[in-house]
Amino acid sequence: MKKVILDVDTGIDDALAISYAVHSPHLEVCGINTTFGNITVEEATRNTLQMLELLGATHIPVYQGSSRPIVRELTGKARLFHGENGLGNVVLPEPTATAQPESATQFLISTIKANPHQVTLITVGSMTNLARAIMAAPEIVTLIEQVVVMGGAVSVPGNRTPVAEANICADPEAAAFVFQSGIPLTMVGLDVTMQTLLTRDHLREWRALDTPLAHVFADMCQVYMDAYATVGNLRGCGLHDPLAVGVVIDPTFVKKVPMHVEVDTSGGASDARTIGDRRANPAKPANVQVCLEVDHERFVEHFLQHVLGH
Amino acid sequence: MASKQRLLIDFSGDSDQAIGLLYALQSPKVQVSGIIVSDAEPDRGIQLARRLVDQVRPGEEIPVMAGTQQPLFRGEADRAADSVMTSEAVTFLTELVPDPDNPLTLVTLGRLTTVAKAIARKPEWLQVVQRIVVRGGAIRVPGDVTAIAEANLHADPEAAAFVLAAKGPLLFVPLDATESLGLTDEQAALLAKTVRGTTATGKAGTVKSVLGAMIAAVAPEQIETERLKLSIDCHSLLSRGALIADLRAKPSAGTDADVCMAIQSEAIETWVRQLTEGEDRA
Repeated sequence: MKKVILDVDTGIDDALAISYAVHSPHLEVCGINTTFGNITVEEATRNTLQMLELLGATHIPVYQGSSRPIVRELTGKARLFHGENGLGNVVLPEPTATAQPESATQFLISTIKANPHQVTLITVGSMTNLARAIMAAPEIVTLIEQVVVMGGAVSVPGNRTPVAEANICADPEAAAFVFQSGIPLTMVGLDVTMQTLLTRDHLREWRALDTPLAHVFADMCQVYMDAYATVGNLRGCGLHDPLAVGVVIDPTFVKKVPMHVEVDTSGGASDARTIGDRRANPAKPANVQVCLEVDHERFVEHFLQHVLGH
Repeated sequence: MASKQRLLIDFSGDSDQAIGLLYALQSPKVQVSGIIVSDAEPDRGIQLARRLVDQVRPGEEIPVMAGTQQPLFRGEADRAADSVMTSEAVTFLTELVPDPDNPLTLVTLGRLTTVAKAIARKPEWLQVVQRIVVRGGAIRVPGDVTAIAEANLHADPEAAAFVLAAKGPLLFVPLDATESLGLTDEQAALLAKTVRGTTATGKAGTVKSVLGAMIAAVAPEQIETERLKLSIDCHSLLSRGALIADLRAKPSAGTDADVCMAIQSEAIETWVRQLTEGEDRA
């Protein structure tokens, strides 16, 4: 089993990613760190605890992370996509458990050091906790197995601006810092996640299963798909965060290209763009494995088989 | 008498861009009405342009004039005389008069400084030109000076952003549209030699984009265009000069302008072959 730490801003597709990871026989989820992004970090912590209780996975500890970007002020939430509470306004029972006393950054550093070259971090929200951990303990760069990032867009349009993706927008300086840190990085960006679609037919199949979890997911994803329709994507919603988990479970779902990628932090029209040097002779050596192709049929099938458990 | 396409060409004076000049001068349907050299040292470009005119259209009176020498913004130490003088080309553009029988197209093969200054001086001249064809930008494909920026927009992004904001009849011809034109490095080098008469090194990418812009200017029936929302980054260290198109399903950011997406290449390839085969034998 592969040891993973999830870093989430739960979030509808974060909830799907947590469930997919928890139910995967290939992954041992050591803990879940929370961050701001789709919602505030406090809401992310609450939603994550609620999801784990719904999944019956309360043995997985939750660590609350950063409440704001490393440099900038906190900006608005993604209410259009994730609803007022982050879970598509689906109301779950208040959690009985609480987050651990340790911070997300402390947990990340201590777990990586206790398990050298064995821990994979999957970030599906802002990259703030990881940036702070690298600032605090640069040695984790060489001790972690790898980081898989859901974020960015190299060869396709952004989803927050014409060129920028939402998770990078949440904290561009954190992303820029991580990308130039030398940490082994796989980027699962919109280049591949927009090809992985959950459709309304899938939601009908979930409702037909008639389990509490299937209904919760179907209700949440309904909201998510309606939001997608308002921005012109009528066929369904992207499985952004689940694909980042999928790439850890089975790396052959995607084709990666080594590339030099830098993050724009200018605050202007190009802010938060992940600039990949795709020229024949790039100016600098590769620092990121960028996923540019995905076997979306095989991945979506695998995701649907495992996301609800057995 | 059949009307001719009148063409103004603004170029940097270098030999790769002069290949576009040669193409226009050799096109029977085109009347070159003026040549602007926007370069720090315009004399070399002016001489080159005059020589090409004498070779291809001997006896024809085609005005060849200096444009703006420096980009809009530059270091203090660099301050040249033209920062306090209006260039000949700026005056020429602002004094253009309408001629409805002979539509006028302006094609810029280099940076957009001269056009920007002319718009600032008297924007009404934009109504006299039917089209401004801008060789510049890279949207989905990599840039040629940075990972994302193309040389012309990178050389003066503020001027390009100013021209875009003026909402003239712009048609951008980005590298996306010209990459697939069939032209080898050897052919590019031979073409560059043809115009320079010496051992100039032609860069295939540059020559392709120059010829692509010329086709867009003189044979619009051979191109496909799309109307996109565009911005040009002037603020970022990393992204300076990048041409940003809002390609999202529902675009909302930027200024509407036409963009050339594809070019039929047969005519240009035939022209290149004839010229370079002749050169080979010589």
